Amino acid sequence: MAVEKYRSAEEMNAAPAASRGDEGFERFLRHCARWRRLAPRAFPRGVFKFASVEEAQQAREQAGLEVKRPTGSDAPATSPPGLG
Amino acid sequence: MERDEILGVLRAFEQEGLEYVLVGAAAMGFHGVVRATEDLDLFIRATADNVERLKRAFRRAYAEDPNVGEISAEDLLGDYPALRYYPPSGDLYFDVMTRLGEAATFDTVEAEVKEVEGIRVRVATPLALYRLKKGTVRPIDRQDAEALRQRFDLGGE
Repeated sequence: MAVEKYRSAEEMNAAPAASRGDEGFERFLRHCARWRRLAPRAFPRGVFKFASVEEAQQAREQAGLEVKRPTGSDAPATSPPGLG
Repeated sequence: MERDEILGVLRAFEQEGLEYVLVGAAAMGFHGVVRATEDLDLFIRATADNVERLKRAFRRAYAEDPNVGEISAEDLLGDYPALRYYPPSGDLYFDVMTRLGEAATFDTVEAEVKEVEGIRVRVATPLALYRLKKGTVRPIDRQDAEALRQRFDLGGE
């Protein structure tokens, strides 16, 4: 049904949004692609390694954090950006 | 994060026989809890052979990207159990873990096999995702935990 009618905004807000029945990973992929188009970001390239997941999460969120890199890398030794 | 790229990587994981479990927002997506993300998070079994499978899969998916050579079993099985790989596409990145503190590893995260376009994907269960996320400090993880709790009636956990 393309149009649903409600007697109040509260009634509308309480109603689950109709879906096409392909909930799940396909919708996740579409959602991420839409997000990417709306807010594209350029990531660095290469491999960054962390002693703990907490350290990796800090690197997501804090600009300027020193990132430990393997020796011999030719990729720029920049900190990875935070996650949106 | 583009559809074909993600499916290509998941296909490469399967083709190379990588032992992994998908966690994070992508895993939630398989369970119908959808939010945007720019990364794929996965635990891999912590063996040298499996790290080689991971490298082969990334090389297969990303046209022999030379940066993949920086991934080493010595690091992932030793002092650096977490790594972030930014592939050449520039559209996304991968957070790969062999352990999360003392609590979680490939072997301890309960998983189930899902399928997308004929690709078999080993995905953490909603309860496993909830347990991973509920005790963490990031607000987004707490939001994820709450969404999982509500959708899968995990109130008793």
